[in-house]
Formats: sequence, C-alpha cells, structure tokens
Amino acid sequence: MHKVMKLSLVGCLLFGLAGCAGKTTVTRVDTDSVQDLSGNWNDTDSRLVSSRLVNDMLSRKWLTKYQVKHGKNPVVIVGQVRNLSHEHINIRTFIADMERELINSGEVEFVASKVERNEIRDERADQTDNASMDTRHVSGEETGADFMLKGQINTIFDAAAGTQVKYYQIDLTLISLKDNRKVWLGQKKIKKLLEKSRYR
Amino acid sequence: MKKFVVCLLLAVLSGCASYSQSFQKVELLLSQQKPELALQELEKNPSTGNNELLYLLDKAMLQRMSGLYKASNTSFEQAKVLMDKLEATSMVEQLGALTINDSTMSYEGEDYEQIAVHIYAALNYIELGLWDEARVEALQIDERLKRLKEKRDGKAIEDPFARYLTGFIFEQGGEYSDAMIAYRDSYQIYQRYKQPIPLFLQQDLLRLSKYLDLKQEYKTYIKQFAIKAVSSVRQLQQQGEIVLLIHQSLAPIKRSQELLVYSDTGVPLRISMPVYQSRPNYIRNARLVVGESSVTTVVVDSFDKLARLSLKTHRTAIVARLIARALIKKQAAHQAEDKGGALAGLLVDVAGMVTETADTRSWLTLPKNIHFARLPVSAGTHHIILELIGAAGHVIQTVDFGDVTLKQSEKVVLEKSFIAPYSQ
Repeated sequence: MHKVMKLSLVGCLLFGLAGCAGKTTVTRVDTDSVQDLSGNWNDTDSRLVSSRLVNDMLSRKWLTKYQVKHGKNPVVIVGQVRNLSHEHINIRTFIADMERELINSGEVEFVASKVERNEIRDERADQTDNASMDTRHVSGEETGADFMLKGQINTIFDAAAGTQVKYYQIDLTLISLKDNRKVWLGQKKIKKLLEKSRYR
Repeated sequence: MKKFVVCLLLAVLSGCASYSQSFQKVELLLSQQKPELALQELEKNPSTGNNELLYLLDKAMLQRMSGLYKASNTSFEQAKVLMDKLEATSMVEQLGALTINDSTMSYEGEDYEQIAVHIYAALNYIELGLWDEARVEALQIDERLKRLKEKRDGKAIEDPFARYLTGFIFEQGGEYSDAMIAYRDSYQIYQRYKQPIPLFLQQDLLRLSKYLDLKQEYKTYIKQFAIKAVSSVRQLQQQGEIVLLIHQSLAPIKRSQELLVYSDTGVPLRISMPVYQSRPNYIRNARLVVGESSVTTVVVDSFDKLARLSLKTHRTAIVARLIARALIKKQAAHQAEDKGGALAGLLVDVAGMVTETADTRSWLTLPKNIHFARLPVSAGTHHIILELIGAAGHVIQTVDFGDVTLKQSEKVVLEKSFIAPYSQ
C-alpha cells in the first residue's frame, strides 16, 4: 500500500474512533471501601479524619474533668470549619461525619447549629399559634452549648514532572463558650503521592 | 485512493465548520444583550470531541452572563478536570497534527485562558458571597501557574489581573501579608509586559506596604507613584467598599492567513498561520457614581493583548511545526505521483492543501478587556449609577444599579458585561 494511503487510513481510523461512545456500567460498592480516583479530597478522607479526630477528642482529659466537675455530659455545638485548602471541599459532609461520631459516642450532648435553630424556632413559634396546649413546646427552654468546635483545612501542594504531593492538615479546636478557653486541639495530617502519566 | 482522500476531507471539515458557525449566532445574541438565548443556542450543539473544552468554557461564560453563577462553576469544574487530563500528551493526536492539521488536537487552552477559568470561577464565588471558595480559586491560580511554567520551561504567559484578584481576595480575608505578595507579583507582571500600573494597584501597594511596615518598599512606591494620600488599612476597615468590574466586548478571533515560505532546502511551501483580529470596543471607560463621589475605571486585564502576546511567543514553534507538516505532505504527493501516476499525485497534493488550515480555535466568549474600579464609601445605603463613556469621551449610556446597602468593611462587587453591536 502507498505510504499516503496508510496515512489517510490512520487519519480515518482516528476520526472513526473518536466518535465511538462507551457503555456506562454501574457497580455498587461498600461505602466504607477506599476508592482514590483523582487524588482529591474524597469521602474516605472525610470519614477517616472525622473519626480519628473525634476519637482523640473524646479520649482526652477535658471530658472526664468536665463530667466529674458538673456531673453531666458537656453540650457541644459545631461552629465554622473553614476550607483554606486548594480544593473545593464539601465541608458539610465532613461536619455531618463529625456530628454523627460525636452524638453516637454518647459522651457529649449536641445542640442544633445556627441554621437549624432558626428553623426550629420558626416551628415553635408556629406551634404557639396552632398546636394544642398539651403538645405545644414553648420558647426559652433551649439547651445552651458549653463548647464550640471550630476548625480549618489547610493544604500544601507540590509538583514536579508528573509527580504530585498533596498534603492536608486538618486542625480542630474546642473552645469553652464560658471563658474562651481552648480545652482541646486536634490535628490530623494526610499525605498523598500522585503519579501522573505524561501520555494519554 | 480517492475514497481515502474524500474520507480524510470529510473528517477534517466536519469538525471545524460547525464551531465557528454556531458562534456567529451566539455573538449576535450577545450583542443584543440576550445571554440566556445565546446559552440556549450554544447548548444546541454540545461539542464532545477535540473542542469539548471550548464548549465548556463558552457554556460557563454564558451561564455567568445569564446570572447562573452556580451552574457556571459546575461547568468550570468540568473544564478544569478536562484541562488536567489534556496536560498529558496524546501520541495519536500528535500524529494527526503532523500529518493533517493542528485542529486534530484536543483544544487544551492557552495559558491565559487556563488562568481565566480560575479568575471567572473566583468571581462567581464572590457573586455568591462564598469568599472562602473564591480563596480556593486564588490558590488554584498559583498552582496552575506553577504547572504551566514547568510545562513551558518558565515561559508561561501570566495574567497580572489574576494575581491582583488573588491579592484582593486575601485582603478581604484579613490575610495582609499574602495579599501583599500577590499585589507585588501583579505589579511585576504589569511592568514586565510594559502595561500601565492600574491606579488601584498603586494604592493597594502603598496601603499594605505601610501596614506591614515594609519601610524601604513603601518609600520606593511613594517615589514611583504620583499618589498624595491613600487610606490606611484601618480606615478601609471602617468603611464599606464598592468594587466594579466591566467585562467589555469579546476576545479577539483567530483568522487564517496563508503564507508562502521556503524550507531550508529552498522548497516553496504554503502554510496557514493563525492571526488575531480584534473585536470593536464598546466603551472607552466608565464612571462609577455613588452620591457625591465618583471614580473612573481603568483597564486591569486585556485578553486582547494576552492573546496576541501568547501567539507571538509561540509563533516560532508554530511555524516550525507547519513547515514540517508541509514537507511531509509534499513528500507524500511526490511518492503518490511516482507510484500512482500524475492524477494520484495531484489528488494527494490537493488533499494536503485543503486539509491545511490554521487552528483558529480560541475561547471566544472571554471579554476583550476588564475595566475595574474600587470606591470606598461609608457604611449605609447608597444609590449607585454607572456612566458608560464612549470613544468620543461622552456618556453614551447610564446604568442604574439602584440602592445598595453596605456594612462596615463589607465589599460589594458589581459586574456588568457590554458587548459591541454585532459586525461581521
């Protein structure tokens, strides 16, 4: 065959192939399984960090001290967790993971966040007008939080010639609402090494 | 033989015609200030092949022009994933580029276009009031630039406004030293590209170098800039600030220019070079009027200039590739003639010429340039008016933004796009 014809054939094949569409396949997997696709922050990181940090928080002295002194579990609220990283991280799932770990531990009481509170207050106001006397809940009986949990996610990225290092540092602080004392500091670090192919 | 040539021609022609044709309608609708209809028009022909990135970029831009900031960022995120993927070289596409034309390669975006993705994503987040997310984009600008510099051996085209915006986002978050670094970078890029230093950047550099006690640097700026007084960080914190961005006209469009060049051995070769054609201006500048005070906008970013600079930088490499390809095609025609006779040779030569088109793809919905202004105002409610000034220096249009209420240290960012009447 002529060289030219070969070339044309390659050209045609390229365009032909470009048009082919792959079939989508779906496989269900366990939500606890680790799947790293892009190397970005994912559900595994969120779950791992929240459970480690919460376990650390609940195993420290501030908790037993509080329980002994007051004879009850401390009441905690989750404040702002800031994303100061290089990625758009879904902070809400991270907060939800933490809340779940905390509530299920049974060691601390938990109160609703600012947004949730407003919704509940609206509902209570509505009850005052519409609910019967014996099922009605009145305002002014909310439980105030003793501590606020705040935090931030920071990253350092470095890359050279197809290799990338992603370093995440998650810092959480538990602050006493009574006197602004920081009673606990938690830190979790994650380091990922990514190798990218130079050809596709 | 004929079949192959026809097949080759069809394959090549089908790809490029549809993109520019559909864009004419988009441009017409934009000039009529109907971004929603332009978006619908674009979505009629979603590109998936080599032009997928362009489609996503145009879509994101039209979405933000239509006020769909969240959807726009979803498109930008898709574009970012694709840009990352296209960073790797495809051998198949390289072969296509060497034998057919450059349009057979996936469009991966010029340096300035890749950075612009983050600029506009950050502005979308600011419009949504999500400053932390805008900060993520600011960090990504830095990250993307690092990668581009590595890829281009340090010769990446930098966008001074990208750095400025980064500084602005850091300053809003009270991260003054980071803001200073970004403003300084921006200043150096404007200088390197011999562009005027925007007045607002001069003020920011003075304000922050004073606040951070960088005495020597402050003195240098005082000497360089003819500014008498600048509000301090504290004064600015006690006030609100109105920030205006006008995205004017559209980025330049690439046209194909036929050139006759000679190879090292003196063989005459016909090549098609892309050249930029600028779009018309709509305004000269604008005036932001808030009660008694007013401020005139300055150009902080010119995609027109960046595009031309980018083409100039890559010109040598493009010409080298075009000559190599022309030689390969010439060689193929000779061989066809030797083996298949004069007709075969002619056919292959014609096929080579017809497929030889310049790569005229670029992100066309980017603006020609960005006009910018910052005006500190007292906390409270203000009536805001924008006066657009035409080429002759007269007000050609007035836009009423209505009443805007600001708190102390709050920044209200106002954005408008103006695209000149459509002309072919």
